[in-house]
Amino acid sequence: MKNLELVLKYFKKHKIRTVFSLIIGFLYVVCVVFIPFLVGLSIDEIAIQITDFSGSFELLFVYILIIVGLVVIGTFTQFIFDVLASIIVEVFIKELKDSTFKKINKLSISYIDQHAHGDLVSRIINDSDNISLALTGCFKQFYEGIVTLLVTIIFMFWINWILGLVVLVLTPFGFLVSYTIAKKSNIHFKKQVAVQGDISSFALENFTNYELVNAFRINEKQFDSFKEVNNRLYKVGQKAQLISSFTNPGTRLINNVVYAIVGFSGALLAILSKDSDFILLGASCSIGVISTFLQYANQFAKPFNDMSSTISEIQQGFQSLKRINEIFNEKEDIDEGNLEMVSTTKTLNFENLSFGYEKDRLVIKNLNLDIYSGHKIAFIGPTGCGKTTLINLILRFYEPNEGKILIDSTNINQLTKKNLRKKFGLVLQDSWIFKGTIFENIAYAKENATLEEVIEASKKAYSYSFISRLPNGFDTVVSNDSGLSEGEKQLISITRIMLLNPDFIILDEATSNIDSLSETKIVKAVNKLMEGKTSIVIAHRLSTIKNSDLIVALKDGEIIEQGKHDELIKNNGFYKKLYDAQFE
Amino acid sequence: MEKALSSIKKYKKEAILGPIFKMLEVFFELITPFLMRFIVNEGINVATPENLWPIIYPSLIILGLCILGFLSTLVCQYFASVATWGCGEDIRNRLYLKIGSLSSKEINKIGANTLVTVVTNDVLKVQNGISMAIRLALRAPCLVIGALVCSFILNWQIDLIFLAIIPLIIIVYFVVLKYSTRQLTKVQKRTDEITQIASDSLRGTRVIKGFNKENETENRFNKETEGYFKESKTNAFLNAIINPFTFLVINTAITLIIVFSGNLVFQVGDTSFIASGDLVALVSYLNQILIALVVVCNLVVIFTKAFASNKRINKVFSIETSIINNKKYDKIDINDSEELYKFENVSLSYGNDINVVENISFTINKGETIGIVGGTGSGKSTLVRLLNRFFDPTSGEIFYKGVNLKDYDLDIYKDEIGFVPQKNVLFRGTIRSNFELSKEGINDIDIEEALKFAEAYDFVNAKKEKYDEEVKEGGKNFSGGQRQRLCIARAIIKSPEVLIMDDSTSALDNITERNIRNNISKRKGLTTIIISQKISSVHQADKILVIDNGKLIDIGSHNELIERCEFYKDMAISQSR
Repeated sequence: MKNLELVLKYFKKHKIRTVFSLIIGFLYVVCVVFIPFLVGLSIDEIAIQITDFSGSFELLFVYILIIVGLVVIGTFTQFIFDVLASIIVEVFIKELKDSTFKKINKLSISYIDQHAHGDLVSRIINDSDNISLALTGCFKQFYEGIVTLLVTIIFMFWINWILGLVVLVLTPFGFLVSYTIAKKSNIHFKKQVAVQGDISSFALENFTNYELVNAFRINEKQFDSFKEVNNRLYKVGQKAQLISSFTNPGTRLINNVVYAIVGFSGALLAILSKDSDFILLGASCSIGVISTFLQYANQFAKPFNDMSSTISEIQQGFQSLKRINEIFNEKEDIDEGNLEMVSTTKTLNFENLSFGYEKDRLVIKNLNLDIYSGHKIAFIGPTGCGKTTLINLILRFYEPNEGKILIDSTNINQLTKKNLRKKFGLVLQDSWIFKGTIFENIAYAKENATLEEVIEASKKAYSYSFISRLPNGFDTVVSNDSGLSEGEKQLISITRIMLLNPDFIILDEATSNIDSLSETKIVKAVNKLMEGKTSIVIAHRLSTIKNSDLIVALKDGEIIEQGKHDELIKNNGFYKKLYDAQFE
Repeated sequence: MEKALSSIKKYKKEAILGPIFKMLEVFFELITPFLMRFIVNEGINVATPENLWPIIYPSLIILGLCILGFLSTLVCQYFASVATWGCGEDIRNRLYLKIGSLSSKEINKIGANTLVTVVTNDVLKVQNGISMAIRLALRAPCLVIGALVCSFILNWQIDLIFLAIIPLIIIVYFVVLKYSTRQLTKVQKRTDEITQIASDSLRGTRVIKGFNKENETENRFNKETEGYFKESKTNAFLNAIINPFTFLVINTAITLIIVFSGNLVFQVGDTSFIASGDLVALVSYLNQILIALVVVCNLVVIFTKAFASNKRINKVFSIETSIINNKKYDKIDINDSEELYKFENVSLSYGNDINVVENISFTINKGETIGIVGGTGSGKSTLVRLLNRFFDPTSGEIFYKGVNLKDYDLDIYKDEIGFVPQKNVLFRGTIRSNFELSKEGINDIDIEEALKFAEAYDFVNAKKEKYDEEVKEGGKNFSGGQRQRLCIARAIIKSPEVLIMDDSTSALDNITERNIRNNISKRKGLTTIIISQKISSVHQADKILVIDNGKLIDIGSHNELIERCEFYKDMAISQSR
């Protein structure tokens, strides 16, 4: 029930709209149920005219007029109800998507790091779609269905209680049949979808790596595996289709049986009514009544079928709601800092810094380091030594377990995150390009950046030449997979920082994907950018860090060596070994 | 040429018997209202409380027909499911084989993702078409026509009303369907945009937070959801038309029947008045017609999709592969000269007129280690593709063991070379199964040897399941460096004559890379071709090919090139500084 709060809150907010649509829906159902009754009356009226021609057509005329009126009202109210229901649901879904996205943005980096991005995106997109389907089902199938049932029951018992009873007792069997089948076939459909997934990923694996498949000539071996999965798909798919294809004939059978029984019972009652001894009160029956009930039998079955087919959708919607709620229940990343440092900052100090992503496994162990104003510091070491973790701590994506980081002698946790992060220009190992023009991607760093500024920055970062060769220059729309090379993407990220001109520069293996010649240019440009600024470089290509003011070698979260290039070579330690290996 | 639908031939029996059984049900369904009419018109008048048989008989017949109809449908559904999924399986198998026979050139052109879609979605849509063709393609139109004929027998004037309604319904349904399909594409496009923004933002969460751009990102997202909302609102309006319209039509028709029959009654003396039972039956037929019409319209949509998919599948079948295994020569015919490879004025273009490599000539002798260096986009990887015979040269010739590579048995050639790709991909399965793909019948000793060669023995041995450790999709449960080493081991385990390493040490640290280089040089007789951006990876090679802009600008040893090749020198300096 707690999960439903989200939905209830929304409907409370849009009370008037919701209630109005429910009333309209009710009106429509009344029209739908009323018409067969009037048709029955008309048939009787016609029958009377045939047997004893009395010449009075006024009554028939009135019936027809009412029918026409109901048809018109019914048509419009149904249209309005359908549209309103959809809009109410869609507005809700938009709000839900927006607030989920907002919430995810507010969560800590560690949450986002620990969850598969595909899964989070799917919660925003697919789960809200599922909820949309479920809500539409609630409105259209359930609300409409239940109202139809209630109104029809009232009408039936009012007209002829015996026939009413017959319909009421028999129709639910149709529901039972379609529900059982739906439940059964759902199980098989789930299996089918799973095998379909297997086939897809098998095909994807082999088609995307076709060069490898080709190089090893393993196509025939792989085909055997494919055939096996494919045959599994045949088995589950055939079964799923066969079972689910029983639904329509099954309900049709039940409906037809009900039709026959209602017809028979009606006829029976009509015959009995001819006999004056027949005294079952209020159960006398005419041909018009039979016709009315034959239609009711149809109408009465529809909500059952509709509801049974939406039950699984509603269940799924409920699961999705749970998944979205999980996100909403996550604790938000709270910024307890309140200080703003406006002036240019220059130094960084790590004091007894310790940190682990898991409590008992420290990635950084009691680290002490002073980074002086204007210095270029390089961190080296094997993967997993804690280099990248340092960046996470400096920018407060994560908080240290122990110790502190000082910026111009102020603990960084006293600054607002916004203020802190503004001071750093960050170029990450995986460059980030979002869908938009090149200009938008670069100007992202700086509000109201002009084209001139962007061009100037791109010239400095040596990205100008390749950008100007793109079909639409700076207006070319790009995305992560739009065909830019890794090097080009990285150049754009660097141009961003060039434009931002921050106090500190952080490069996380930023040049690893750029070929050596462009790298030389970038190193030059970055050096220029770093003039008068403090910078931190993380690299595994030693050539890029040789001229650093301080090289820090990390291993298992601890500093094992530090000094300038020449000193470290003289030391003949870890750095020397690493350096020599590249030329052996 | 192969066709997707030729699979149906294998399921002739099901495809013919299915619809026949379905027609039986239609027949039974059409008789029912007639019987009901008999009950109302004759039964009620004839029967008395003492003798109810005039209404019991027809009722029992109706019940019997219902059950018979149901049973014959079940038979049809069974045939349909077998034929549908059987054809699907057959088409998928044939597609897979076809795609396997294609070369890089063709697969590049279509795209691997598109091919996956063809094998999965398109085949499913064709299946859906087949299924509907068996189950409904005859049923729905026959029901409409049958109901029209029956109501014509009952009363031809009212049948005219029905006839007038049918085109009206069809037109409205089609217009709505057409627009809503178009609208759905728009909605889908919006969904794609939203997905893109959401995953962009998650991927770039550090950058966004680093630049303090949370609000801006949210606004961008809200703008897209607003767009999505607008499109789906339009869609809601379109979808809301069908039901009220159907309601309007069916009730208008009923009203017309009443008015009409009232009118007939009014003109007494006319013998063609309508009996009450006729009215009941006519209303039933009207219902049947409407339901069947909805089915027909949906069928058209399903068939359109199935045809489009069928076309896409047939397009894949129609592609001819450009790499043909000529098998003119195999091992037996080969002379034992020192020269292993000879490139003669080789050029390659990927379809446009631009040559990605141009006029390249060089030779590789047996047992040599060859380095190929150049910047990104210089054409290094293209040489790899030519060496693997993923492509044949557009002009010029490649000779292998003195024979034109095009004429060499491709299976034997692929056995003789070991390839380590740039993208270090492993297949799902286990470490062992990946190695078995490379060579069948290997034992633990072979694996151990290969792992040691690739400096991968230690970390594999540290795994819980050792050689049988699971490999997840793409090998993502191993680090980049581990994958690279496993890929090297996979190439070497088949004891190749030639080892081709395409930039395959980029994720290794210097010490590991050096060790692997040493292992390579220890293998006697192994010809090694190392492609790299890093001079340090190739500087020990016997010969180094320097590639720039698709052209071979120099060949020589490291020392020679440092002396005379300006380009090579620049690279060396920029990398060692």
